[in-house]
Amino acid sequence: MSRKRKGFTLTELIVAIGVFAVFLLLFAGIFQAIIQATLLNKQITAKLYAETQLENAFSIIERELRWAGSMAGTLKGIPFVDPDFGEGELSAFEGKGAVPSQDGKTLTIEYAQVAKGILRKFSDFEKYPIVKDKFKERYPDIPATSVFFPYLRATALITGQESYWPKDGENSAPVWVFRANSLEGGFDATLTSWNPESQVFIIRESPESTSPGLYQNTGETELDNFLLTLGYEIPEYPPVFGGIAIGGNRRYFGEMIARTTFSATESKLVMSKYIPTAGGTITQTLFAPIKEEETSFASDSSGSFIRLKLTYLIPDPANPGEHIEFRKERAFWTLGGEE
Amino acid sequence: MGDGKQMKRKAFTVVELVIGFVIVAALIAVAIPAWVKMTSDLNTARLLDSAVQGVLYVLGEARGNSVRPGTYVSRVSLITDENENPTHFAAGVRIQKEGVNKYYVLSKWEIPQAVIQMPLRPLVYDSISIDFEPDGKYYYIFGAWVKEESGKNGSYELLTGEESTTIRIYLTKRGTGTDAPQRVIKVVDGMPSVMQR
Repeated sequence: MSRKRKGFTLTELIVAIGVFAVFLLLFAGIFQAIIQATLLNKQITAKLYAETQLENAFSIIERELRWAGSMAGTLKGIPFVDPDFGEGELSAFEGKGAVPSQDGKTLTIEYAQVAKGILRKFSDFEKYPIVKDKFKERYPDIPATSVFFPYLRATALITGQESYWPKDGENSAPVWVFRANSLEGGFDATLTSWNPESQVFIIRESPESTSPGLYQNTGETELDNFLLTLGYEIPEYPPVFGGIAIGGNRRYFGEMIARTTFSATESKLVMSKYIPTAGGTITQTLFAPIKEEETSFASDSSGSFIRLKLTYLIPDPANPGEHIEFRKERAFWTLGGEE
Repeated sequence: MGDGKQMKRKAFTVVELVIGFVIVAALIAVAIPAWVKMTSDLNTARLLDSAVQGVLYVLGEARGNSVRPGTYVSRVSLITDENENPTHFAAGVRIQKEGVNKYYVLSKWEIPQAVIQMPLRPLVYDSISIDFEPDGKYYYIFGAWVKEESGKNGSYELLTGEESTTIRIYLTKRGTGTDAPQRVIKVVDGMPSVMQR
């Protein structure tokens, strides 16, 4: 007589399957939550990084646009005394304010910031006998022909001899200046480097010259009546800044004269900055990746603001190879729009 | 009762029991190493991703500071040992202030004690190293990525296009160079990006 093994009842089976299913669901749910949290964390991290880089890019754009068009009239066709090749002209340097292209894919600006001082020459020592006498008394061996004093009264004067001034090899980097005979209207000026021989010259006894000045030696090239010194980004650390080789014959010390182009190209937001005093171009990627077709520069009707719209991408951690899109818009104030 | 109608459930035989144990043992033998490897890989990936984020944070912060008013330079470099060799890297970022300029040093990472004391300690304990290729001292100046010229303290070369910098972050105890688990950041025209593997 055969014996049959007792099987599970249907109820027992359903209960067992039910318990097992609940357990599996819990298990899968926990894993899913962990995976989702990891993916979300990756996405948030990527977005934070992108936002940080974008803010950096906006800081750079803001910094450039702040001076857009400054010295615009003077920059048009300005003569340029090149230390390597002599006098020439800055090709196609027109002193543009912020000029977006027709398709909005590029923004061009040209500017020169003259912020470190305007010097005015005493053309004739004979007109200022007190200055002349004091100068000879103090510097009997220096045959100065003229002295530059600050046009606006100052207690200190940047001479390029300061301990924090950039060094070009063993010597101080040249002070780049605009030379001009007049400061009226869109005056004619020449862009040139000037390496003053002098230390600061001060005659406090004279009512005409309580400000410090710089003297010009006999035999030096006679300069025009006014010198407008171009602003350096004065380095504070390290104390000796030897400049950046940017491809030209000279080095870049941070002179604030440039033609800068921002463009959306090859899925990147790119800044290209031509520095005439260094004879080279700085090209840097400000942000990537972006959607070129959804990136544009536009100026408002007043010309005081430039609006940048862009769509940027971050990797989608849930779908490798795919991207998530974010849109960003920022308005930048500018000194001058298109002239 | 006692009428022979009451049925007893048959117990498993020894053979059945052994077969059952063998099957379970086989499953465990396959599953546990796979699970351990997966956990280890996840931990490795997490450590490297954290390190990458640390480096990206440093680079982003340094670039930002180099263009803000009052600063002009942000140095990004490796701490070196007595022989001028780069030491182990870590996510830790040391920020020193000199005047208004900051500089950032990527240095040895002490893996958190809490991680070391986990049951998987032998699997996650490692150190993370970083190499700059080519070797050198790097800076952000006015937002541009530059390299200090060799033998010319304070003089820099602009790095553009082909002259990119590779920052390789890897687990030191799992191999050297390109065979170790690693992440690669490339700085091209000043923009740091993580290279996809």
